[in-house]
Amino acid sequence: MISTLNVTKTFGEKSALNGVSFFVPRGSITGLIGRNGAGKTTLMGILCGLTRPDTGSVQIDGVELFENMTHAREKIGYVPQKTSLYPQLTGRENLTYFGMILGLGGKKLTRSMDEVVAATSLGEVLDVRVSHYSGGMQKRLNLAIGLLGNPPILYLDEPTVGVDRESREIILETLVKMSRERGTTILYISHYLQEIEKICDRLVILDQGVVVANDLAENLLRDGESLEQYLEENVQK
Amino acid sequence: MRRYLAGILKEFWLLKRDIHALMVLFVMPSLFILIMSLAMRDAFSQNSGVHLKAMVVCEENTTASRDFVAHLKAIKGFEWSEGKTTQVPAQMMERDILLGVVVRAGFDEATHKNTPQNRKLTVLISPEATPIAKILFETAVGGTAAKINMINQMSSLNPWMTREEKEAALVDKVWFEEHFLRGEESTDVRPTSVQQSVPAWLIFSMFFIIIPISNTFVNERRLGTLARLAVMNVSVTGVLLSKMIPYFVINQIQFVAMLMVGMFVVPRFGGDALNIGDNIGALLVVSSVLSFASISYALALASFVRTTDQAVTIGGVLNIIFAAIGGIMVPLFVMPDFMQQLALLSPMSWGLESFLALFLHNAHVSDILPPLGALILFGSICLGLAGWKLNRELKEAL
Repeated sequence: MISTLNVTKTFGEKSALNGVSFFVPRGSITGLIGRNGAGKTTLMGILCGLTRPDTGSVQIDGVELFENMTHAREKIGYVPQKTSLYPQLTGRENLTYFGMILGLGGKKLTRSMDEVVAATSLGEVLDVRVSHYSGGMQKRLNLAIGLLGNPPILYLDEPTVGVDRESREIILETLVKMSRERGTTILYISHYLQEIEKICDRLVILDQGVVVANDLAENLLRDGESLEQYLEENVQK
Repeated sequence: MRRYLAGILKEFWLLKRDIHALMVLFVMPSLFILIMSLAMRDAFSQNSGVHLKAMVVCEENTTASRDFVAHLKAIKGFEWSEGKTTQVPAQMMERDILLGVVVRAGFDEATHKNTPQNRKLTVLISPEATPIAKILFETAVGGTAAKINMINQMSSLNPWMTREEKEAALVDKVWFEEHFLRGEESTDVRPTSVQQSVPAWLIFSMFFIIIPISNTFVNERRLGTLARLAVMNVSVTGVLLSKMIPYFVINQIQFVAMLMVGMFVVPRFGGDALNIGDNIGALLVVSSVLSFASISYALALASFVRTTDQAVTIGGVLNIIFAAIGGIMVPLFVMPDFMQQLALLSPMSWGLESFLALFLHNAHVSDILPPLGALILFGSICLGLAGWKLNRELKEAL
């Protein structure tokens, strides 16, 4: 699980986050939504331990992130918005490199690679250079690297931007499977509201650095209301 | 440990596929060493003694003319050939010789009289001969002619003197002692072309490690890979170290390969073989320090630019400037004083100075501490800048 309590962050005069508190239970898929400038990127930086908040605390699976950074980060799998890969290397080489960085080796690494390759359907192109992959394949490999080592917590930042329909389906299915079968806690940032509606069971809505909604999706979206309608009525006025 | 191993493995995979970088790191310096060692051999040969190419032509076959040629050929510093009068200008045009002297008919008779002998000698000088070469040649010809004249004059004055006695009276008399101002252990020993070319182009290519480093490093920054690595608990120090280790290995392979080119390849093409001196340990220290400086410089540059094109362009231009002022492209000893002072600004010149001290003087590490210290300081500043920039960038990475 992930919990933040009273997290604030200012850059000069500008307040990026103002008393952000929310809780992501274990095994849930939580959608983090907000307009551009709402503070999502700053919050993601803090949740990754890259940016230190001015006040407040962040706990990852019960570990205080900024007090025990190494231990807390070991629990996190991170899938960045950019395809952070080595295009000159093959898919297998990319997975081997990042797997070794995570401390995996030998049979553990092979097993983990087999699992993530199967989950993202990349088996056929594993020995092809990533520069020859389609955008969708690259995003799938990006996800596969985030899944290496089976992390209990997974952050995904716009994982389906610029992805073909087939790859998008594979990515979303993989995430649901991870959550249901392994109890992975997923924090999902996306501009695609339909995707959020489809896979997220909880929603955290940020607006101007403040959490304006934090609840189960079914509690927020009543009477068949779509997320887009909810946001229009409650946030984007 | 596994993380560092992963970093090393990844850099080798990337480098293996970067053919252009490999060409710049290995093929370019090998070719430069070979070409420059051979092309500059004659220009540098004055450092190991003068070898001016000259031709002597005898239009008469007399004792005096034969003696003249024999004495002339005994003078050090010239590489003599004999030929016909018409060959002298032709060979000068072909640049086979720079200087020529024709012993014209009547030379023998003139040396027995008190007629100025040079009227029977014609000196030909190529426009490409330096003023010093011209003076040396004219002094050699004039002195030899005077010697022959003196021998023949002695014959007239004392017909009982044997030829050997006459020779002994004049030849090989050294009328002066030789003293070097800096004493016998003068440090002003100049390198041969291969001694200059091997370290010069090795250093030049070591600094071109900027190409493979920036190719990966700039992309890692641009694509957010460094942020991803940070979330995987890889520190900035870890990132920098995992880059330094593989490229250090690459630099050392370059070092050994270029020494091999100087020792074994250049001689096969007619050049001098590189003599690396006796202090192999000190050579390894110099190459290690140079490697540290060049990799740190590349990391600093790759940390501040936005694209690989910028890195390659800026890095390439800076490298050429460092090389031009640092004695890589033009040897320091031919530069005027103010340029030699300017060379102190180039890290390449610190490396070159260290290598030449080892090649020419069998120096020890303690003798080259100032240039090595300068390289270590330069490398440390660059590495510090790279670390500072990376730390700052990671905070704004997402």
